[in-house]
Amino acid sequence: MGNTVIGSSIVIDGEITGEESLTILGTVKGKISVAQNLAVEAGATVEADVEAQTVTVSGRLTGNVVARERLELKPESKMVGDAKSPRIVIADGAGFKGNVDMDV
Amino acid sequence: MASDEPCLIASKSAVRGQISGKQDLVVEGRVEGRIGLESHLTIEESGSVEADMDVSQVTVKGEARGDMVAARSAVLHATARVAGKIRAPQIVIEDGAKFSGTIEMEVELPAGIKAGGA
Amino acid sequence: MADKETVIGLETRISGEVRGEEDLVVRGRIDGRVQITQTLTVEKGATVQAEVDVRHLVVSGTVVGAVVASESVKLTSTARVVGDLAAPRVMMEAGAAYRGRVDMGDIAAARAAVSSRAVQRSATGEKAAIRPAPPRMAMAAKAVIAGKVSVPVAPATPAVRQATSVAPATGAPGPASPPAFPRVAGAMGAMAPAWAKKKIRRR
Repeated sequence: MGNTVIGSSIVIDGEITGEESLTILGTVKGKISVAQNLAVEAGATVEADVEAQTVTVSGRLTGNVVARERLELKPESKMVGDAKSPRIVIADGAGFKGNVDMDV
Repeated sequence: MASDEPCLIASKSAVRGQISGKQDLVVEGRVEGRIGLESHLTIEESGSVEADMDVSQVTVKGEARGDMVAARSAVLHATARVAGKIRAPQIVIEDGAKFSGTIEMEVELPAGIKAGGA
Repeated sequence: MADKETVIGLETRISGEVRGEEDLVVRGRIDGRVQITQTLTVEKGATVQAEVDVRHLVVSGTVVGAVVASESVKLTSTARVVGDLAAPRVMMEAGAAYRGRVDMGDIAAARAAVSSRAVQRSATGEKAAIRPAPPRMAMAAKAVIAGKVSVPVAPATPAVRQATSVAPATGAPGPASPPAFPRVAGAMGAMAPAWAKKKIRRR
């Protein structure tokens, strides 16, 4: 698999763009734009505006999210920011603060 | 190129001045000055060269200091201690070799990448 | 969870700064700055245009920028590298193409030179900024919401309460304009040519 993984001790300040999936276990600040899926794993911290096909958050995400297909906030996840996606799933136990826009 | 026996500067010999020729040269002793060869220069572990070198090929196992131009290749073995400038289309530096200085090679970069500044 | 290797995939590009305490493999591209306490591997086809500060660097792709490695730098046969290298061990395979200055002596000085350039850059304010999006809201019937949802800080609150019945909002504008990301300019600075001061030992 040719996907991108940002490990737990990695900190990125800047912009990530890609045509494939991105899994974050570490910290990303800035901007993320990927053609496929973005997974913010447990323990990960993302402070970024995000654009992806699907976004799955198990860690912490601060920023505005545009998920072209689906946004899922897993239990224990925390998200602060505006969410825009045709399908939004917020699990029991997830924390979310922000606006939701499903008009995509 | 290497017509005869290679020329040898033996370990207790020293040459100051210019060495030029078409024959391979092996330095086990010391050379100071200039070396211009259309052949292979080998600086053995005991060898020490402080010179501008313009050769076809150079193999360094000992010490060298100066500008080194090799038309074909330069190889720095693990025991090499080199300071100066190296210019060659192919350069090999083995693990353990010590080099300080500048390396000049043609570097073809992918489109859109400029070497000017990172 | 920590034991996934960090990989920048083939089709992924990062502009900015990457820091970390684990190995990093680049198959795509990084522009900016990389500071890793372990091994940075730049695979064939990958490009790193950055100031690099690592323990080990292994290059099979392209690296443009000043490199400081506290232990070693290895340029494999497909490497294309332009920039100054400072590392106690430097290896170069046949076929590698390299242009720049090599310093196998004073790593600390080289590192100081690289990081002082970085400080100058951040002092000029080239930093990523996250801009909040304008508040706006709509929610359609397909929403599945369970659990703590504390909505929202922004003035658009009421729409959420009617969530299940409301028609999608009209005219929701696009997302906030993207923040600027750091762009690294700056020339490769001159490292002190330590070799110039050294004398070859005489036997």
